[in-house]
Amino acid sequence: MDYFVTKYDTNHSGGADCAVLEDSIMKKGSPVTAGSRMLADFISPIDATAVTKLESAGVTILGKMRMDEFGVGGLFPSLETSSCSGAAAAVADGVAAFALCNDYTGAVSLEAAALGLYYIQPTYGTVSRYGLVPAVASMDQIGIICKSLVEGFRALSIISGFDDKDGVMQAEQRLDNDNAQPMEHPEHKLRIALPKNVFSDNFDSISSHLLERLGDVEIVDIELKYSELYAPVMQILCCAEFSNNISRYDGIKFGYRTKEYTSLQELYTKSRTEAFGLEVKLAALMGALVLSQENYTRLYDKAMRIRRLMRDALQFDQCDIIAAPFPCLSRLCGLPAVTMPCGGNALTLMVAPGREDVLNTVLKDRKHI
Amino acid sequence: MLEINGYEAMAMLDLDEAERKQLAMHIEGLKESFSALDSVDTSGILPLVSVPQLQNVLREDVADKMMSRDEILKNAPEQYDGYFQVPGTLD
Repeated sequence: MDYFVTKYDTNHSGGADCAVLEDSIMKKGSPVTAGSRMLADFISPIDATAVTKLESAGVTILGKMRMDEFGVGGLFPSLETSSCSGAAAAVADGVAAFALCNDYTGAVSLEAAALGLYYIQPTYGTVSRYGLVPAVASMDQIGIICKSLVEGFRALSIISGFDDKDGVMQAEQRLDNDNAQPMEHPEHKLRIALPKNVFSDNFDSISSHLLERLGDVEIVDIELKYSELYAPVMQILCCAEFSNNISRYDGIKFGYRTKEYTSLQELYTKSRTEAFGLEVKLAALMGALVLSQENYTRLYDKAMRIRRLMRDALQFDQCDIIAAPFPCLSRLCGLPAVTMPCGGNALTLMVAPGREDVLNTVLKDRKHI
Repeated sequence: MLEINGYEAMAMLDLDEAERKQLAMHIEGLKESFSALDSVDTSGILPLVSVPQLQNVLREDVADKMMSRDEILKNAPEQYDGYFQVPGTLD
């Protein structure tokens, strides 16, 4: 399998201290396609802040990896297109210690877990998106695919931190995941919530795997309210934001331009129709639908209100970690999370915003659970 | 079949018949699944556009180095004399 879209000429043989980038993250002077014909000839004019930070820390970037077009395919399982993250495959094969990518749909996380890897999703707004090809603004976040959580959290310590070039950065603080201290729970054991309503027939198996591997933890039963609405709310919000974001691709300032046109309108329409693939077209049409006058209130506005209900229903006062079989809740609510393999399934562990240290201390010294 | 020509125009796309038929089918299915939202009462709940509680932050009004004209034009599909080149917009 050829994972690389662009390979840099380095003397590094790969492995430790090496990273690869999903092809939506910019490295100055080299192509960034986001997997789209639209950006086939686009040369990055800047370095992404995350890339600058990695290189300053002595990490060698080996290249850019193949991805689904703008990473949007994961939103539409019904299209049955095969997802393929070159970044996950490369880390699984030991080409690099870790990879950076923007997994706003959660599809790459699941793919990584199926390959025996971890995906670290940082708290929304703690890693700069400057130099990331935008897709879904309220969920775009650079995360880390890794084989070892020690390496993964070390990388997170390097790339996180305030950057005034990203308008959603939250605080002028660096997540010191490299030196996270063991958690102290004088009053209770570590409480992991396994909501029965989202683990159908594999609750017992997941529960026993967690107890066996994490040792002395308390399994808490909470209910994840509105879980039946995660998929439609994700689809509505992602399509609305995605269609808005890709309106910049008009064949004028950058990106693909059709060869034959007779008017400006035709230039726009033909350039987009010829360059975008099926999933992107579906997302653009769905975005137009949910934002249209007839559907805005019933779909887009309503989805945003339900998103608030979902976030407010999280019961972090009753548990330290919430486990779920899917990563989408962490994207909707901006929660830090680790998705990992667990007894033949993918499991996502989420914590309260900014509490990556909980996941780090609980998981990093352990083998796959 | 769901009529999607209006959405095509909004999204600046012009699909061929095969794509139109295939995507209309998916859009119809997705639209149906969205009816699940109707069951939730959201009166009095504010929309959550983005998760962080963002505040407007103003920077100091200090000139900064931006990309040069040449750098910006480097990725333009067509350019002329230091400008983006576009087809005529007035008849």
